[in-house]
Amino acid sequence: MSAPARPTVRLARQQIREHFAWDDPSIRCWSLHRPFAGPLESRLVEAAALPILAGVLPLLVPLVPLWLLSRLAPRAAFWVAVALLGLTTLLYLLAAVMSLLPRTNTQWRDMAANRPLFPALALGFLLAVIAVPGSPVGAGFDFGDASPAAGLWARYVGEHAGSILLLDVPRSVVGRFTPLQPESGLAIAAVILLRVLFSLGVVEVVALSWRRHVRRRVFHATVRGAWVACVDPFGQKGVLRHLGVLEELVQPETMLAAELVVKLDDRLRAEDGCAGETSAGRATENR
Amino acid sequence: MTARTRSGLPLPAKLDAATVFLWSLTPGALARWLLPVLLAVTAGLLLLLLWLLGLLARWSSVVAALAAGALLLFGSGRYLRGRLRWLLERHDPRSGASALAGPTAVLLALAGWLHLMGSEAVGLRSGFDGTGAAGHDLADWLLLAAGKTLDLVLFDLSEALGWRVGPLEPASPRAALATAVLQLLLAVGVLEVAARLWRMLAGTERFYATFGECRARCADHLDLEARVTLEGVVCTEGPVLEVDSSDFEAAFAADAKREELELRPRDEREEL
Repeated sequence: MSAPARPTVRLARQQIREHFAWDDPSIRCWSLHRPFAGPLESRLVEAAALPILAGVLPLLVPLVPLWLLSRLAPRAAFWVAVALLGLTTLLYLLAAVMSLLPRTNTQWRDMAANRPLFPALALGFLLAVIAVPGSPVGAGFDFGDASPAAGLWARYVGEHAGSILLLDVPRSVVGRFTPLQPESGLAIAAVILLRVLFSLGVVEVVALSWRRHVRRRVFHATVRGAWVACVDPFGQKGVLRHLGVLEELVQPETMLAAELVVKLDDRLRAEDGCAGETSAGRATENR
Repeated sequence: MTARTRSGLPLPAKLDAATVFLWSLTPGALARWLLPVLLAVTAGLLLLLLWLLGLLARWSSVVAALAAGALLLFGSGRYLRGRLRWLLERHDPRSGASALAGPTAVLLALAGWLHLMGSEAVGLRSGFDGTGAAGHDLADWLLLAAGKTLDLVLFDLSEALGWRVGPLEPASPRAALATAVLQLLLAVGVLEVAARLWRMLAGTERFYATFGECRARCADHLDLEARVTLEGVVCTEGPVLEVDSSDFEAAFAADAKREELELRPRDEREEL
């Protein structure tokens, strides 16, 4: 028998501070739902939109202004791309390290929540570093019969992406998409960084999708934590629900994990046995 | 609501109740030694299975290939079934997870597939360059598996640098697909082992779960000395309060801005 549905009270913005305090240390149970418009297709649209918003758009956004800049001043475009690549990689590493530190602040937590965007951004800047006209990194590649062009670089990135995502199957079955081959040390380092950033980006987007879709967006946090969860990197609005409060035991109780499994299994067997006996008894009575 | 066990831990009246508790799981002192033991046992079991299949192949390569196929089907089926149950029945204490079921299933499937790749009865081996003559080339296939595992762990860097482990190289589409299946099995195996090791080595892990979910997590822990602690219960009385996330963000924006850089101890009970 399921529990009766609880009533829902909708709060206006002015009422929020009456119910929740910023400095409240208690842990609360929240759910955060960010539906797209349209009730039927919302889940599918959301599932498809997330990899694009977190993985593809941040990769493409840096390329447009840097391409425009490269038409005016190729050397400046190269160094701007190098600086921004260094900055985004550093921010990603910082966000990863900060999430492990014992102390934190709101800005760091916000940055950690936006972490999946950094590998994609860094990848966009790296592509600019490689492909911008006159780049010493791009010059370190052997082009074979081809001439350097945006389409060639795009195919080269697609080749590496396909080999990472599809376990080298396209390259083994169809062959290589481009004759490009890294020759210089800089070019080899750039290819290694490309593969590392792409792999990290895939892992981060998969983890983000997991947190948003599979874990059903229920989480336990203070009011501060709920605020960080509400700050969405994609500016998507949602509905936050307060479901309950954690009450801690005065004296926490401990046992061996293996022992708990055995006890629960014994208990389940006993419950199932009782249920079996009860239904058998009922059947006898009915006869 | 709860009845106490002999050692004090309270149990709810019905184990599949949806009440959520705060738990912590602390690995025992010997957890750090489990990595070399786990790797050695895995490698040893894989070798043993391949050796047994090799012995069988000396008698009849067809029977050995059938046995390897059965191992592959049994292992992958058992693994998929276990993962599906984990996804769909996490709340159910009857879901019956166990620590070694996942890795063992992958190991069986991996041994079966490696044997099939090298078996003369199946014909996959002819699609690889560098295969020895009719002689014993188990080491080559193991090197291929080791190389592909390295590729997975090192983000395929060896491929970018042009390194190659072992003499075998897929030279036909069928061999490429076979290698991809091998890589898939290895990836699943690496993830299974890495997830368990992370749990054991990352120190005390706090999580919110029902009794059923906690049972699954404890059963999935390799460390027999790990201790689980019940720290609290999530009370869900009263009405659900609902608010727009943008309103919530705006209501506390000034507080967040004020203490943007103020360092505070991390609350271990939070999950974000």
